[in-house]
Amino acid sequence: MTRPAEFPPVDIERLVEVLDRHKVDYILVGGGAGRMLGAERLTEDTDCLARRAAENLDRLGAAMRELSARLRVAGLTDAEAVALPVRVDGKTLAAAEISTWTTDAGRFDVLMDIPARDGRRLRYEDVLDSVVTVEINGAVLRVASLDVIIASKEWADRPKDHQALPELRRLRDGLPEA
Amino acid sequence: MLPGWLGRLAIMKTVYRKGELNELFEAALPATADDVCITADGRRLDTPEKVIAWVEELNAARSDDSAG
Repeated sequence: MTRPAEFPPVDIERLVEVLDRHKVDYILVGGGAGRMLGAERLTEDTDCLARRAAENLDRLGAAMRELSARLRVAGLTDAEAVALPVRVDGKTLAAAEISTWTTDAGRFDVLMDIPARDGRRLRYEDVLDSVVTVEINGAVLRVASLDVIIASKEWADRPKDHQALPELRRLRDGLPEA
Repeated sequence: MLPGWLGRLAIMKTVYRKGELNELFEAALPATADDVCITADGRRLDTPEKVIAWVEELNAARSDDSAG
């Protein structure tokens, strides 16, 4: 286990249950989505692409408060981050393209959009048609397609994206493991 | 013919029972230095000072809203 001790473990089932109960519109993206679509590579956190409408972000804020969300800040411990005077609500979420959080259900990142291969920013509505729908304990989870995940990682172009891409492309193309 | 990734989805698990999904996420990688908040106007909040300034900015905007 490589998780730093201060972070609660990922409890995606609880996360999905709480988001579902608060009727949040979101799509699982990033490494977690890749994992659900067959990737072996581990992920760092749970990334969600949220529908940007104000009422949806208010519901997301309420769900995150239930999960004791606090900002995750490089250079601050979790205890220090808890002390920041951050209001976890729709207004704060709308003020960031990407916000990084620690919750009782693990690390959780909220994205307002994700890049396409050509750099266009795709919102929830742009990705919705291609999602895969998964049911977890009666709750519905929408998972972004491999094409969407690959395009966003190609655009992000970080070392960790370069590490993840070969496996994701292999899965998309239906090729056997190298 | 179906593209490869779509064929893969045909055999993907779409219903999970309690505990099954958490197993997939059980081990997590550590966060990386590029794992930071980015504001709506594109600022990377990659130091505690930048995050604190942003939070103060948001709270000041709320105060202005409630005063106005």
